[in-house]
Amino acid sequence: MTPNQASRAVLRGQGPAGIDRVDRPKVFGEQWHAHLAPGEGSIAVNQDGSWKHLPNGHEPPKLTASQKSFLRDAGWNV
Amino acid sequence: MITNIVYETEFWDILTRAKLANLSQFHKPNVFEEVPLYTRYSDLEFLKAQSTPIVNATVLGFALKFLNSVISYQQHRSSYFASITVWEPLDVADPIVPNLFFWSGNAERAKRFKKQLVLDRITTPFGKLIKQLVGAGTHPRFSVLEDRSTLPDECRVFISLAQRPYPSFLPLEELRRPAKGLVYDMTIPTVDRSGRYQLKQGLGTASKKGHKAK
Repeated sequence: MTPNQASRAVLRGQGPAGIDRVDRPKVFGEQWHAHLAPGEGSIAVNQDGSWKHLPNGHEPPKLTASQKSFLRDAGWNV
Repeated sequence: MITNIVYETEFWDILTRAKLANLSQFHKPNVFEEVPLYTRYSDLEFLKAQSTPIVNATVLGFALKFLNSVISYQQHRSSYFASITVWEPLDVADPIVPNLFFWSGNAERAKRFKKQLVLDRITTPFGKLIKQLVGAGTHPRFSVLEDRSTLPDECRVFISLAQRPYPSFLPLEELRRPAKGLVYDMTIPTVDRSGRYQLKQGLGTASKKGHKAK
């Protein structure tokens, strides 16, 4: 599954619970990322497994098994 | 452009659920985000009786009204940019998903921002389709440009105000630079058997690698 297909699966309601959306990079050099909550600036996991919008001093949330499996299938390093 | 006022309550409900109804969040200093205006096709259940082209026109019409609202909400002293963006869907049967793309920053950040985005005139079939939708309405005049550089083999269309609403607003044309090495033909958009937007048969195929004659 490509990231594009993962994004479409989530749009179709076929993604795992807790993944709000899968977004493309805004500009060249950024990564695909999966948001775990709705809204602008919500916490997201990049394709390389790093976190985006993680508040300072906060521990990253633990991904569920189904979230990990879905994202790994789409090329995420989680 | 379809601007059915009956649907607007539904769209605003979607934005509220997606935590996008508070317009002040799009005007924070040094912000740079692109956020979809809806995240599930089921959000558009109220349009299920409509064909995909009508749904696309309706969704885009609302997105452009929303863009106007966002831009009108606050004027900035430093540079500010806001646009509706649309990535080409994987399947032509899927409705388009408009995003709000917004950026703010000082002159130094603006220089970097302009280098990060490579926008060019519309040449792909999908871009032409969106341009037709945007141009067919009674909305204020919009500019439409294309990004073919951020992701290989994917096209993103930018739609924003053609005229500056205030001096520090970045118009789309300021981000326009020809993408190197990309050559496209100019023909009428059609849809092939696999559901992808294509150039009209017999005239060529849009490709990242360039123009392919048939």
